[in-house]
Amino acid sequence: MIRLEIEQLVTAFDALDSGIVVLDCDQRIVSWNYWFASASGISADEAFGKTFDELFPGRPIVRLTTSISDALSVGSSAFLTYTLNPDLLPLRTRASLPLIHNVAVRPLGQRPYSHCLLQISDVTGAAHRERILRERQNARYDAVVESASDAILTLDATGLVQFANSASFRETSFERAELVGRPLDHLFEEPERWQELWVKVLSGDTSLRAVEFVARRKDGSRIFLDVSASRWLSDGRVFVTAILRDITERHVAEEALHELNASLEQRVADRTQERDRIWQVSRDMLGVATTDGTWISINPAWTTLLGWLPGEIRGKTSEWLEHPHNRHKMRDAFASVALPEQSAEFESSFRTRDGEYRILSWTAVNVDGLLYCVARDVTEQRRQQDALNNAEDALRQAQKMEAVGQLTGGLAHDFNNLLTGISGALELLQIRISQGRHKDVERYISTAQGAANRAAALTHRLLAFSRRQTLDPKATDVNRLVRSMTDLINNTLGPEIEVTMTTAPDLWTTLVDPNQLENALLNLCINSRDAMPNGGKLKIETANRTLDAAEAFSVEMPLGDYVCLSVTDTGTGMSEEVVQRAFDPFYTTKPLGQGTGLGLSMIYGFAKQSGGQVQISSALGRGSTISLFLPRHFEQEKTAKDSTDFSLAPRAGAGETVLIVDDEPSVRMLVAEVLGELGYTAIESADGASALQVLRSDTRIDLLVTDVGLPGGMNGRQLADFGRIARPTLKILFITGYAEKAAMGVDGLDKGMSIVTKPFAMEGLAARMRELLQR
Amino acid sequence: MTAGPTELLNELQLDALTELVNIGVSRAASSLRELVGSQVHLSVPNVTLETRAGAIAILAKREISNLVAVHQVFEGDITGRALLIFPETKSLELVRAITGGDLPLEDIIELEQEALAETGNILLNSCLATIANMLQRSLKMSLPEVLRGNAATFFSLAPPPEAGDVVMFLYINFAVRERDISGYIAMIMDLPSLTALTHLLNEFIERSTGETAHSLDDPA
Amino acid sequence: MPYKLLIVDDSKLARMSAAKALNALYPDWNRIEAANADEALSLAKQTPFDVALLDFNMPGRDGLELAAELLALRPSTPLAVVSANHQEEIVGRARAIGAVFLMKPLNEQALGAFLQDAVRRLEQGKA
Repeated sequence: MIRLEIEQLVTAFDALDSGIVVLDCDQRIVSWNYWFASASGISADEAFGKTFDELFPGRPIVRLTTSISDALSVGSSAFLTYTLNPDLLPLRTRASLPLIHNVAVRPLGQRPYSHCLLQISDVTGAAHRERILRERQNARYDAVVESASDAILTLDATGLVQFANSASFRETSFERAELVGRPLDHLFEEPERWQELWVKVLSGDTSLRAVEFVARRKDGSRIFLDVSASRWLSDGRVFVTAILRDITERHVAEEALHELNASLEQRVADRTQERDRIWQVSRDMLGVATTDGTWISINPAWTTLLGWLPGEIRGKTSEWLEHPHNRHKMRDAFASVALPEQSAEFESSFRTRDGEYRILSWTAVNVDGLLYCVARDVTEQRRQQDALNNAEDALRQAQKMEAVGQLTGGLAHDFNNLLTGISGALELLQIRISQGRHKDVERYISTAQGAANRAAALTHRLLAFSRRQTLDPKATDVNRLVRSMTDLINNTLGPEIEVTMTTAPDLWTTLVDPNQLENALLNLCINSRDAMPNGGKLKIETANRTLDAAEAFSVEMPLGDYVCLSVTDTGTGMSEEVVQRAFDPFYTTKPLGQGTGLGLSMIYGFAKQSGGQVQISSALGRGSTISLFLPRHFEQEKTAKDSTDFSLAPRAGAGETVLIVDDEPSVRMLVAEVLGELGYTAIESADGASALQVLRSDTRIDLLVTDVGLPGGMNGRQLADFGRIARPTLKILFITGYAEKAAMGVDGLDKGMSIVTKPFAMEGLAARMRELLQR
Repeated sequence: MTAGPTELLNELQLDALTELVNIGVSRAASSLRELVGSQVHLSVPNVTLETRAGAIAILAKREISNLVAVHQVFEGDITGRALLIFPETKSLELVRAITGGDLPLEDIIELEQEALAETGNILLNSCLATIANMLQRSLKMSLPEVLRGNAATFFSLAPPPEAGDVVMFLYINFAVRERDISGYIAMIMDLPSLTALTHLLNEFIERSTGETAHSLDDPA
Repeated sequence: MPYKLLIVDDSKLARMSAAKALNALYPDWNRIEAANADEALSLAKQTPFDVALLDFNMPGRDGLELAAELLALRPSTPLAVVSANHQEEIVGRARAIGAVFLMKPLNEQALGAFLQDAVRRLEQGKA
């Protein structure tokens, strides 16, 4: 035990950094130290003998007084903290700030206690710091908790809510009084689940994750909550803080998403089913191939259409199915779609199982390196198209024949006249020669020749006109064409109709099938004739016409240059109704049996085909004008060869012999005469058999001239073939009619053979013969 | 008085006072080093005498933010208050520097009061004790108290200021762990105390240099 | 024999105090004074000195820095760094460059011991 000197004690007393007050049994101040004097502002001397009440009036220091009296009476000690006893004494720091203090009260000495000791300690700094810390902490905590959008509640160990942040009231719409101090169970739809969680949390399980709950707000509305809770200790006491996050929106969204997904799945399934069905059901062939043409996937239409099974087609290209003529077409087409996004359209023929071919119209598209193909069976269509084309051709021909039929009467008449002329001339010739009068012989011969020529020309024209030909547009001089038709037209129209032809000089060329044009013109003339049963006037006119925009528009044609061929008559004319329907096929104003009504529609079709137009201008009782507009063509007509002059006919070489075979004696005689004139030796035969005999003999024959149509089982062609066996280098000249030539075709002529058609000009015959012999 | 406070002490007296303060501060550096655990740089470039108003003005001009101060009272032949003043922003720096390491903010705040108090205590005590000792006097120092406020509050603490009160004002450079925490030391004393101080300084000068303070008044 | 002492301290009082102490110990010695490191260096270059007393706590370069520079000029000069700041770092640094550390306030005894030792070294150096 340390013993201090009195002086030291006194010094120590006043050197202490805390307050000491000594009171007597009457609670009067005996002394207090320097520290307390500074802190209270009252010196020890001043305080001596006074009580606290007297020194510090008006202070609520009941507890202090009680403690002091307790200490004095029973010897108990007391500890009064500032937290529970703020401002016990009015003390100030050296900086004159309130001095926060704790007071300890003890009795001094032994019983009976005569004095009491008070110790006053300065805890200003500590209190300050604690307050600051607490404030800061609170501030931080408050900031987080109050600003949180989730409900944060603190519950004690018994499950009662001790604290709820503002969000709690917003979220649940309960009021503070309805939440604080009560358990939370009432909030949840399944309180037992909440209890389960509670128990787990209380037990200190830290592995818990947020749990979903369904809760009811005050108004009964349902909300979905994500609840997380954790336990914490404070001074040994257990608390649980729970965070309730409102996930109603998310929940609703999730449910909506589920539904959407479900419906989406359904829709996808539907779409897929739809697409599957289309694939299965489609009549068109659908397929997927690699870029090299190997088929990966094909739909049932392949089997339906072609009869092959999928296994036979898949895994290889379809070249084996293709028509020999267009083999590799698929491959080429596919090659053209090698690049992505490319597509190709083409036709190809595939062989069916039954061995026939079907025409397929393909579309192939390259998507992502695979070729997606669709093929449509267009066989029927093509056939129909062909049939249609054929029908059209037949129709044209039929129509032409109709026109020809129309001519027959007139032609027969003409021929009659011509023949009359010829026979007449010959008769006169006979008479004159028998009379010995040779003076007019020339004239009669000329007449006869002229008539014969005209007859030949007419026949030629007719034959040319009637023969079946495919459309063959050529640069045509319409004027020349019209002029060449003069005879025919005159024949058609008869003597009662006055015909004038006005042709424009320097008429432009047009690109048109000359046959068709002839046909059209003839038809128009026939129509006009029929419109003038009692005779009248007919004018045929050609002209150059340039249509400006307005005119072109009015005739529904592009503007530009046209060749116009018009036929005007002074016939009965057509009413407006008739004009409207004039071009309709089978429309006719003629009585039954007279005319098919195809003429104008054919003309219309022909004009349109040639890029032109037909215009009708007519009025009842005033005649009609039909105008044909044909676009101008900028190439010149290739003129046909002019017929050669007989006087230029080449003459025979020495000793050249010609074998003539024809069943018609007059023809034989004629040819023989000509041959003789030209210096050839002629041998005649009436049929193939006798001719062949000659050919098999040693007789020199340089040329065989034979009619193709011979009697007796062997025709000219056959004769030629047999003759060639005996004489391989025999030159042969066939005489044929027009139709036969067409039938023979170009193939029929071998080397050293030639052909000439009846009727022929003598000098033409001679030229041909010369040609052959010279080769 | 018409003369400014600085004229209250002559050059040598001021020099002596400065030297005393520097010695005191250097001692404090050693003590602080033990507290801090790494080298402490402390120096007092100069000492001036100001009026309260002047001191307030200087502080107000130099430091805009709020201030924190460690306050102690000294009593004896010289009586007055000593304040170690920092800008509030620097106080936490000081605490970090003193405590070292990277303590979380909460801890720093918790320690702030204590750290400031003890640091201030070391510095102020050292200065005052040295002065007292060298002047062969004893001074009783109170325990440190941390205050927050501004220049006006610090220099107007009760009891109310008296006319003629003088402030010994010094700027103190304080660097620890590469942190530069500079502040001010202000000692407020009344005129009687200053007079006493002057006497004591004269005695001290004589003892140290063997010459009187006044004999060196003339420029050498 | 009289040596020359260089006293460097920003406080005039301190210089005077040191001078007084020197007088008491070695009255015949000369001394030169400087208030800071720059002054000290320029003086040192002009006037040779034998021993130096350097205050640690000075504005600008402190006593230890100055010590290093002076030793660079004149190696093995006996130097003392004076400070009330006896932190181990400072004491250590002083010793590291071969300077003696003296506590402030300087007392005659401590100064005397240092100067004695200095003289001894100077004598040895000459020999």
